Parts: sequence; C-alpha cells; structure tokens
Amino acid sequence: MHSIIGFIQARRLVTVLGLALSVPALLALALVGAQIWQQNTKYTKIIEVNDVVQFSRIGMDLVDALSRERTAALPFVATRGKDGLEAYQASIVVTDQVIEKILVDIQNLRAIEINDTINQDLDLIVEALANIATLRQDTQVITYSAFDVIELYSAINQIVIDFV
Amino acid sequence: MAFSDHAEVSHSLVTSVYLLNATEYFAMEHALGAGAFQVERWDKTNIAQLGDITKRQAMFFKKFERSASPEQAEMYQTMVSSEPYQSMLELRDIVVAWGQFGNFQGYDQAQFIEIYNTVHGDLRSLGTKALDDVLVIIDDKIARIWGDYMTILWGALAAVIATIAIAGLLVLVLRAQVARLVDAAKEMAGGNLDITLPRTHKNELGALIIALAVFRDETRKAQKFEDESRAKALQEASEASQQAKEKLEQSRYVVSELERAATAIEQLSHSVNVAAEMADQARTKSTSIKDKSDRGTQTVKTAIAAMGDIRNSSNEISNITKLIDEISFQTNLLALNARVEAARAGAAGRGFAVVAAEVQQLAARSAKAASDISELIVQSTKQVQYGSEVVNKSGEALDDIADGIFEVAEVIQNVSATVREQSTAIGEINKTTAAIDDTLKTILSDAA
Repeated sequence: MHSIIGFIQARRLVTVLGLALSVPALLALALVGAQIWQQNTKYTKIIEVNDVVQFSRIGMDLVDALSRERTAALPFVATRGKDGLEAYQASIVVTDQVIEKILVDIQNLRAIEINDTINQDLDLIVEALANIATLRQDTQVITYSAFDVIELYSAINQIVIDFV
Repeated sequence: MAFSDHAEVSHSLVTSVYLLNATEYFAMEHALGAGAFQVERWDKTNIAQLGDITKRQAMFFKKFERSASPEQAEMYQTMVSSEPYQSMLELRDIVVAWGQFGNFQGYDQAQFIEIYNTVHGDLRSLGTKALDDVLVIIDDKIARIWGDYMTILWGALAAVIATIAIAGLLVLVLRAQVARLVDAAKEMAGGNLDITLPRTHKNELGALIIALAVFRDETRKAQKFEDESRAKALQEASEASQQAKEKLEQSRYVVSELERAATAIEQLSHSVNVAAEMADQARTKSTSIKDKSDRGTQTVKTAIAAMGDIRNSSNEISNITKLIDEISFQTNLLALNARVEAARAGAAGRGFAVVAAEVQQLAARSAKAASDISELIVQSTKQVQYGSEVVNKSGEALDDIADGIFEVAEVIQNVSATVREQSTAIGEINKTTAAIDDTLKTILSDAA
C-alpha cells in the first residue's frame, strides 16, 4: 500500500491526473464493455430466437403441409382405400417438398450456435420426420383407423409445435 | 426455449403456439370431417372425438384470445365473425346433432371442404401473422439492441472523448496553475520575494498559495530580520574582530612582553645566578678583604708605630740637625774668625781666608742644609704626625671598613641566599611564563 502511495506521490502531476482520470475512464470503458457484451449476448439470443422463429414459420408450413396430408389421408382411410389415394399422394409430394426444405433449414439452424434444448427438439423433429414414411406406408395399407391417423399425424405436428 | 430476456417475444411466441395448437385441433377436426364427409356419415366415436377436439380447440382459442395482441384479436374476431367460420360452427353443430344420421342439413362435402379450407386458411393466415408479429418484434428488438449498441458505443466514445477533453483541460488548467506556483516557489527559492502569487480559491491549491504567501511574508520578515541581524552581527563581528585584533595584538604584545619577560627573567635568573655567584665571590672576597683589612689595620697599626718611630727618629734627626746647625754656626763663627784672622794675616792668610771662606760657605751650607733638614724634619714630623693621624684614622677607617665589609659580607650572604631563593622562584616563573607563552602562541596560531 505504501509502495503504491509512494509510486503515486513520485509521479508528475500530469501523470497522477491522467491516472486519476483514466481510472473512471477505464471503469466507464469496462462498463461499456460489459454493456456491449450484454448487448451482444442479447443480440446473440435474439438472433437465435429469430432463427428459431424463422424456423418455426417453416415448421408451421410443415404443420400445415402435414395437416393437409392428414386431411387428404382421412377420406382414403375412411373409405378403406377406395377413394382419395391420389389426393393423399399429391399431398405427400407437397409435404415432402416442405420436409426437404425443413431438413435443410434444420442443418442451417444447427450450423449456428444453438443450445442443447433446441438441438434435442430438432432431433425429435428429424426423428419424427424419419418415421413419417412408415406412417404413410401404414396409412396407405389401411393399418390405422381414421382417428389413429389423425393422432399419429398430430403427434408429429405436436413435436413441431412444441419446438416453437 | 429460454426467452427470459425477451418477454415480449416469448409472449408473442406463446400466443402463436396457442394459435398453432388451436389450428392443429382445427386441422384435426378438418381431417376428421373430411373422412366423415367422404363416407357421408359421422359415427358416435367420431362425434365424441370431434367434441374432444373442439373442446381443446376452444381452450387454445381462449388462451390465444387472452394473450393476443389487439391487432391479432381484431383479426381473430374478424375471422370468427366471418361467414365461413359461422358456417363452420353451424356445420359443427349439425354434425354433432345430426351427423350420426348422415343428415347435414343441406351441407355437402364440397361445402364442408370450402368452409373448412377457408377457415383453415384464415387460421393459417392468423398463425402466420402471429409469427410475423413475433418476427417484427424480434426485428424491433434487434434494431433496438443495435440502437442501444450504437448508443453505448457512441456514448462510450463520447464519454472517452469527453473524459480525455476534461482530463486534458483539467491537466492544462491545473498544470498551468501548479506551474505558476512552481515558478513562484522557484523564484522564492531563488531569493526573489517580490513576486505576485496567483489568485487564491477555496481549494487545496488556494490553501497552498495562501501558505506560500504566508511563507513569502514570513521569509521577508525573517530575511529583513536576518539582514538586520546580519548587519548587526557583521558590525559586532567587525567590532569583535577589531577587538580580537586588538586582543591579538595585545596578546602578541603580551607574548612579546612575556618572551621579553622570559628573556629578562632568564637574564635575571642568569644575573641572579651570576649575582649569587658574585655574592658568593663578594662574600669570599669580603672575607678576604676583611682579612686583608684586618691585616691592613694591623699594618696601619704597624705604620702608626712606624710613624711614631719616624717621629722619634725625626726628633732625633731634629736634634742632630740642631746639633749640625750649632756646629755650622760654630763653624761659621770659626770660619769668620779664620777669615778675620786670615784678613789679618793678609796675603798669608789669603789661602786660609779662602779656606775659611769655604768653610764658612760650607758651614753656611751645612747650616742651611741643617736648617733645611730641620725644616724638612719639622715638616716631616708634622707630616708624620699628620700621617700618623691619617694612618690612625685609616686604621679606624679600615676597622670600620672591615666591620662594614663584614656586615656587607653577611648582607651579601643573606642576599646570596635570598638570590638563590629568588633564582629558584624565577626558574618557576620562567617555566610558568614559558607555558603561558606556549599557550598564547597556540591560541594565536588558532586565532590566525
């Protein structure tokens, strides 16, 4: 302590004043740095949220496409395969296009720094989408009842909605 | 997802999720209806499922309504009050009431599809709008963060510039003030006390200036006092120096005198020693003189006796000369008689006359010689008498002298003893004087 006081007392007035004024300046800079870091954190988070919401919009397209596919599947299932296959398959094509797009978006989303929870939710979506082929296959062979189909598609949609 | 830092976004997203869930349940109803209308019949199970779905749907719609933004609520109300939605509600009631009987009160599949597709489309639009609202909020947030970011940056830059400027200004002002103080202090240190100090303020520098002013004034007083004291001291020193010089001179004089005194004392000591020796010699000589005087007295006595003898002899010589004078007288008479007789004898007597003349002359000369001798004897007697008296007196004088010499010898002996004591004392004085001389010389050497 004495050495610090001695050091300060041995300095020139300009140096001491510079030091005295540089301390608050440095503190201000540190505060600014902290604020910038905080803003950067906020920015990073909001960008992450933005990416997630952007992804959610695409997810909503997926939900919409799956809903349409499900709606198209029901007449086919209700008629036990007599009617609605073409419409169902047409909806599948549309859904697949959305799925293809959303898988790319998932990859893009993974490319940015996202937290583990999002990653796990994305894993669930990917897993659900991987199972959709089986669902479609089972649906086309009339494995499920109409309500089962609704429920199964709804389960996939719920995963996407839950992600949002 | 943790959106704790963005409550508004979180709220909008939750609202969207409510709407998505409601839409999902509507889509399930749509799908269920699509199947039922395909077979133109709703069985009880489907109707029950529809009831469950619509209940959940309504729950989410209510949640959405509660958390929706005014704009979203307005859109929702617009949708709810739209004809397709009202038809959808009517159709739903019909299905619940009559679906199991395949009676749809005039609604066919195509109308169902149109109504549900329209409502589904409206809900999707509303959902898209909700998410777009979220994105707008996010964009607003991003813009705000950027704004804050830039504000902070510019603020920080401004603060740094302001700090540097203020610091520079403070440094310049304080440095100038301190420099003036330093210059003033240097001037004061250099002895210039006729300086004007900067104006004072009620701060530390002001206190320093006041202290310097006090110091200056006190220094002036002290200097004045010092000058006076110095002058006085110089004067005193001068006087002291003068006195010292005088004392020095006096001391030198004293030393000189002491040296001289020492020399004199040495000489005196020497003289005293010599005097002592001389006193000894004088005493010896006085003793000798006394002896000689005694012998002189004896000799005088002898001389007086000899004078008496001479006087006696002179008396005898006087008697003899008287006799010679008488003889000369008789002779002269005889010669005269002879001459008379020779004259009487004439020529024969001439020769005799000549002898008689010669005898007469001889008698005359004898008489004269006797007279002279007598006179001389008288005179000698007188002189002897006088000489005897003188010798007698001389003997007395010699006695007196001998006595005096003896007394002098005793005095000299006393003087000699005294001189020896004095010589010893002088020796001590000489040593003391030498010591004083050495001391004074040392003092003078130091003083010089």
